[in-house]
Amino acid sequence: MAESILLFSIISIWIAVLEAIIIMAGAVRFVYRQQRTSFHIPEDMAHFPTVTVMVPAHNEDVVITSTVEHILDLNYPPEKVQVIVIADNCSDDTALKMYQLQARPAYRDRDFYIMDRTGTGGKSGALNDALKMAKGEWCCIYDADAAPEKNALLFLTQKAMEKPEEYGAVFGRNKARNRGQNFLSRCINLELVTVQRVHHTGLWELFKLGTIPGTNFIVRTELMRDIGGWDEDAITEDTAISFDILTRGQLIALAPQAEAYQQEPEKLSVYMKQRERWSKGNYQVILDNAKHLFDGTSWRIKLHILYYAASYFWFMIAIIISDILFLTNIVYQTIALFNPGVVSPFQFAGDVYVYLIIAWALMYYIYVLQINLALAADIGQSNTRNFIISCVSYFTYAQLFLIISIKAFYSLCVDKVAGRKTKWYKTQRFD
Amino acid sequence: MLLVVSYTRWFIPLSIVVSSLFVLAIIGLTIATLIFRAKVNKTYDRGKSSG
Repeated sequence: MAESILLFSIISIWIAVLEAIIIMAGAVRFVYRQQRTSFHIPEDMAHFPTVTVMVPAHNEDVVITSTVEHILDLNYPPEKVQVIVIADNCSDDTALKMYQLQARPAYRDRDFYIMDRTGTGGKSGALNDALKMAKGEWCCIYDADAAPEKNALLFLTQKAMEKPEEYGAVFGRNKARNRGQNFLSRCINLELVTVQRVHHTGLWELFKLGTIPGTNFIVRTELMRDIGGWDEDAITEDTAISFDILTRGQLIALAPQAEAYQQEPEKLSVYMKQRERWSKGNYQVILDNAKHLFDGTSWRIKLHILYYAASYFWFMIAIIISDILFLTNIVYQTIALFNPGVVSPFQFAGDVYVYLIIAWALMYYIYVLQINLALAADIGQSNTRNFIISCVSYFTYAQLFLIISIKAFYSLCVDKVAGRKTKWYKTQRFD
Repeated sequence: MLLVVSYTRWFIPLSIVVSSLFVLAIIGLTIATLIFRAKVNKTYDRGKSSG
């Protein structure tokens, strides 16, 4: 039995390492290619499409004014932009702050609508109500804490115009604007940078596979209406919509220059709640879409499901088992220093256990390497402090993923058994 | 015991091959990362900015 567990762990970690190597190879090819590509800001944007920018906001008076200012000041023809801010069931001054902003002389002539909403459905419900009013050819979504860079929308639509018949959605990159606050926000920053500059780029470069990140993306309005809007029962509406777009044969393209800053949790409790929701939502999406593994849909969808399923189920179980093997053996070896008669329950033939340690060491090395490739690609982030955090975060921050995943899976199972409806949790903002 | 011996007979050579291939791939990726980092540093004079 112990031998079978060991073999399962080793082979699973090999596959995880292989996946990491393939994605990183794609990311390396992408960054080298991007280095040789020059981007230009067009002088004449008459041929650019019209866009409806939607900002769902639930009690966001701390951050909303700054966010909408950034959106109204984007480098995009004002007559081609419709802005809809959805003050969704707000008990604070979100709507009031928006009316004050709208009254400013600079924005008086803009197509800027404030929807004071009391409906249901959370973020998805708010976006669906805004979708009914959308006049633009594309819908652009920014969360209420976003600060898009001046040309973010331009780069998103520019990418969409490259292959308008193929690209159903285009997503940009999000950066943590409060990354220097504490150890947690520094770790989240490393994760964000790595996901966006290694995982997203690698998957896009090799497989033309993308996932909508929830903010800083555009999606064709007609496609969104054809899908039937955002799924109000989905916990992570962004992942759910990504699968809906892919199943319609459309691609979700990456526009790497379209960058926006967002606020990340600064407290562990806020972080855990946010990530538990994400994990639970991703489990739900995997289960909902598992059927596509066996139907006639595109290989991209199957690959996408396998990628999620491997990350959230398979590799997680393998890491938990290998952690148990390591820790048990370390504890027994320590005890054996004082009492040589004590023997670990996990005794293995030959040198097989050594290959588990080698596999684990390779996984750790490529984890650190991926982070440092990502940091090198983000100007100003490749420094000694971030290198040290990248080495330490595996043993601290990354292990939280295990706790979060187990809690989320347990919570999902309880929801299914008890027929309980999942409550949507909004991430707390900080001043 | 026989079962254990039979699986180690093929699994250990397989482990050596797989681990060696991974090590080679990772060395290649490390070199590519270091070259890329050096290029970016040179282009943006990274030493003067901080994260």
